Amino acid sequence: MTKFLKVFKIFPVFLAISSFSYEFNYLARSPEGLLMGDAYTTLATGAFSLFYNPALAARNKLFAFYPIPVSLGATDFVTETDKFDDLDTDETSTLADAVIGTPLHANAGIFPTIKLGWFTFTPFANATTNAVIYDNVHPVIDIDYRLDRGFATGLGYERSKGNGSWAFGVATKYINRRGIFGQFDVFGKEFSDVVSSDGSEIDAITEGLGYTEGKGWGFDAGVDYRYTKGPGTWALGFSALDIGNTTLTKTSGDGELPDQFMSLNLGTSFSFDTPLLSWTLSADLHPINANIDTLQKLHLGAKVGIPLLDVMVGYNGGYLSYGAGVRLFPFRLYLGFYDKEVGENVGDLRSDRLVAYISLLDFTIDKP
Amino acid sequence: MNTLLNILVLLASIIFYGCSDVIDEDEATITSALIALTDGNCSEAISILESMSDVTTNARWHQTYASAQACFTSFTEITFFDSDVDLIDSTSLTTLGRSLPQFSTSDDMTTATDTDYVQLYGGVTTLISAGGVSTNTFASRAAVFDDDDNQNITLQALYFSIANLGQYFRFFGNADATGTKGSGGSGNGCYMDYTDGAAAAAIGGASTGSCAGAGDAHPDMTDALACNGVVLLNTVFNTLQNIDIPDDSGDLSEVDDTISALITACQGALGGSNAICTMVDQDLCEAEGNAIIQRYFALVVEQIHL
Repeated sequence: MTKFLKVFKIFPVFLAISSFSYEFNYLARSPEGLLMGDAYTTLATGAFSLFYNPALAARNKLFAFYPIPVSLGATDFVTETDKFDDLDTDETSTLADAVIGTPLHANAGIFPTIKLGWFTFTPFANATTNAVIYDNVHPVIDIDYRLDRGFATGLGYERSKGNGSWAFGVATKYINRRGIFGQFDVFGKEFSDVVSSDGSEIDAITEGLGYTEGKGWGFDAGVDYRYTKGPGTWALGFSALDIGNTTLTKTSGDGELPDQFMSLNLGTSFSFDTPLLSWTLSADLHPINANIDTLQKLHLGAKVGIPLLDVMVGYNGGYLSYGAGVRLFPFRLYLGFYDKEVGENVGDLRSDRLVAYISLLDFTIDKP
Repeated sequence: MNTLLNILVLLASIIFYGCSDVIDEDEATITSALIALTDGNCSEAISILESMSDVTTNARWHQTYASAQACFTSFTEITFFDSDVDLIDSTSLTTLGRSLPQFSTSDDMTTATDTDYVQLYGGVTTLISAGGVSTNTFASRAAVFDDDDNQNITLQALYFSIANLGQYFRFFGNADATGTKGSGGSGNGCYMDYTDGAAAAAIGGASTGSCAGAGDAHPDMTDALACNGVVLLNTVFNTLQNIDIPDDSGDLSEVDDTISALITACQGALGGSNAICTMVDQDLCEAEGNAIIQRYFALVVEQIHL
């Protein structure tokens, strides 16, 4: 077995311990939001409120509990079938052609959330790996494997006047991040040592690539305005997440450890809700502050719902997203596809991804 | 009004602060070049990399730029490890010298200015001179880069050098498909024309194979091209003396054992002029002059490649 083939033996290790590139990494994303093009800043009223806009904590009326909301993500090999059909994994050149330049992605996260009035608390564990191998001449593997654990807690305040309603919110969060971050030569020093271990010892692999752990506290703030008339609601929201960047202090390891960078998010939406039919149009700009391609900041989404079923479609920073969801107590299940740019500009390097979300035993008690 | 102004100032401060370091511009630019290389857009990758400034100590820049130069050739490290590295046979000087011309990329060089050769050599020099060092040695680069970066640069230079040396041996050594010197179609039995007395004295007999004396050089050989060979061979030797070769590299790690005696003999034979025996700088080599270069070839190159 050649050295290049051996490289792929260790991939499952990353996927197993959590899930790779150059994209803005949010702390967490709502799968439903991703299927709506991630235009979700004014719509994240469920378990993901604090990861979009803490002001949405104030939109809870009495009590809500999301005990087991689980999100899963992976590379969409279904769309990439032409690349991987009839792939001979023992043939280095064909395997290299298929894998080099194909962004790999895996994610698993859980975000149990409890809401009491204007107070929201979300402990979380979210593991993501993004990896890309670039360059046929001198292959370089770009790895971003992170396991984030911690909690976010937020407090909102809502003030209504007539058909309009303002909400303000602040949140704080604790993040313990461990992971591997960097570019490694596939036939270079660090990676060769790791590959030589045959992927059998997870500690040797992670330490060899600079596995590092750190922790830190972050702060968020946001504002949300909505105007409701009949079944229609127009919303406008702005949030600053990880204000001034959430700096993580290393507690072990000597590799790189990226901070959680600040994101400024602006969103608007219009929702129409009746018992038999609901639909929503939304538009976001985020992260406004990041020095990335402007088109990647544009997010558009739409959702049409009938009892038990939602269908979602969106434009996620240059690419299409779509999916569907079923709401049948005790389940809430969403499944869909979205693409994301992981290069500098839209069109440079597209990561095809699928996302699934399952939430069990959600329930809410609203004020009468 | 003042409250609103304060909020706006705070907001502007937040935006200004957050804009500065979300994505590292240098890393993003190099990644763009890597994406271009992945798509086979060699010239675009070069342009992207040349648009950057303050790159002297950026190891990834040098490695990516060298890769972009090699992108114009058929060389890839994947092919090198998949097909070629197992061909290296360090059992003896004969087996070693004849194994390199058998590489899958060795017959790509059909003229002295062939792109496949020139660009790969360009990649080698980019790597060994990385960091703006005064001499292109591992030790010099160690003063600029951290150990991991220096080892990665040096390993990449080794892979490029070995493949480039395979082309050099095949073309200038007039080797056939078995790697045997003087058996190709160019008609020459030697690399250089050994007019220098000390060099000529080392030529002949079993130790230099098909090369038996003066007037049998490759027709395209010049001092500058001869110094390419000096740089390539000495880079391989310098690398193997300083770093551990990764597992699964076949006989690569044994090559320095096989040629070290020749280098030592070169140093002994040339006495006060022996700097060329370990020289890894093209300009310094050319400055040594034709006679010294001839002696190096007679004592080292002609004896490695038989």
